[in-house]
Amino acid sequence: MRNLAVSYNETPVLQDVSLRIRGGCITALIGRSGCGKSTFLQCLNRLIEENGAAVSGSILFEGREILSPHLDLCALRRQVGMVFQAPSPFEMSIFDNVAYGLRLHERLTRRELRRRVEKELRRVGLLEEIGDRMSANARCLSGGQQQRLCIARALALSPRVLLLDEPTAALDPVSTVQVERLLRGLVPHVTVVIVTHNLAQAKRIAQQIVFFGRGTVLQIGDAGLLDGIGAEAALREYLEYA
Amino acid sequence: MRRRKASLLLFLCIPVAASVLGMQIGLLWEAVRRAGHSSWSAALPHFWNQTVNTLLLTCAAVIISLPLAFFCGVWLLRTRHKRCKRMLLHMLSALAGVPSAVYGLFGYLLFGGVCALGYSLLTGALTAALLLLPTTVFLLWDALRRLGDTSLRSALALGAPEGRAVCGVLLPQAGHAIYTAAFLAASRVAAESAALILTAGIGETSARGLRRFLQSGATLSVGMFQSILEGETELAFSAGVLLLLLAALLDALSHGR
Repeated sequence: MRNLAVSYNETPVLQDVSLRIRGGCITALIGRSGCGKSTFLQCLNRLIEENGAAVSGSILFEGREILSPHLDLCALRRQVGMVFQAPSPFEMSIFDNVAYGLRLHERLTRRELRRRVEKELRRVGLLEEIGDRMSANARCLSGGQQQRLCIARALALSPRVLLLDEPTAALDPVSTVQVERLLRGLVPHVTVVIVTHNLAQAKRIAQQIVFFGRGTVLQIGDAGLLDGIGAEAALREYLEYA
Repeated sequence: MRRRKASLLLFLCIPVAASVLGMQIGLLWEAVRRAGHSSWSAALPHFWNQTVNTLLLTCAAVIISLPLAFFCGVWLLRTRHKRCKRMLLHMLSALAGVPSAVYGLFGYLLFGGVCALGYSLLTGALTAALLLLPTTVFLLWDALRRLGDTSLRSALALGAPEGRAVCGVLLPQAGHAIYTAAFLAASRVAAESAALILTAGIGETSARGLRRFLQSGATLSVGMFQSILEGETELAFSAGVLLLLLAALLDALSHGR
């Protein structure tokens, strides 16, 4: 992206953000609360516009300008999936949750649909846990299971990019490890961009680190930045609190 | 000191609560006692007519108003036009305080006159639907706000068009709220009288099927007023007891889900 800027009611939230996210790897967005990480993330699938934000600048995805007013948002969001901080299963069965996106975008037979749903549930490690309870309401699952279900729902559409906004913030350590393992397994086929306050997590899984501060990108680098290698003053100060 | 104050408060609450409960039980007892037995066989078709009118009109009013209220609630939730939103909320607040007789006059003029429906159950249902709108909009909007918009945003993030996201994801989630709002609205309509006297009228409906909606027909509450004015107190109290039973049934159903 180039010169990306976001504002709400003329109050700037992000200013002059220019960076390149490496394809096929995990990029962690770190920084203090309120510095614009989640806002930046939601620019990548233009979900930020649902909040009434004004976005300017340029974001290129596979050579296409995604901030163009003529862009098919549904097609973009199919390719750029998103998982939110709080698990948000729909008020429907586990099967229907994962099948939701597939039914929207593809014409599949029942058998093919079932096969795809089972594939995604197996991928996130849920199929063995839920067994034959696929028709049970998704809200009966635990928090960690719900979050993995949301990831399965997003992955069902085979997105090129997966955006995750603090996906493990509300999870226990075991579920966190399961999600991290899942994300590591996605690369290099899927580009993952994750917002996290957990620097240890970023160190464990990320290959690229983007440090946000004061509504802009302060530093970009590889995972070595989190050990202070090449970290500038602002990032060093942030790391001291970690 | 605090314990003494708490005991005093409890000491005051008990007689107040007992008095209110006692009054309600007393009213109910009096209504049942005065409900006539001597004219039941003659009055039964009359009550049956009014009960059917009440049920039909109530169902029609709820079916008309609920979808409008839901989509109005969704618009209030999703809109970015703050000025329009504020205007609509002020208007709805004002309309919620308008006496039902005024709705009756408006319904009589618009649906009965302009739409040429005259005195009919349909005119009554449309008027009642208008009457219900402010309350049901606020109920559903509040429920949608409490649900949060995470599920809706998740659906949008999967590439769902907004309409499909609202109908496919938000609507099922709001199911409980819609169910409760429906029965609350039904209770309100069933007990309504002023607006329905001016729109549905006080006639005896004779038509069957959907043609019944085009005829004037008294509901139980309107029939109750009519009976009192004609000096038939037994019939009035009987209608009152039936209304109480209907209200109790609707209340039980609203908690049933």
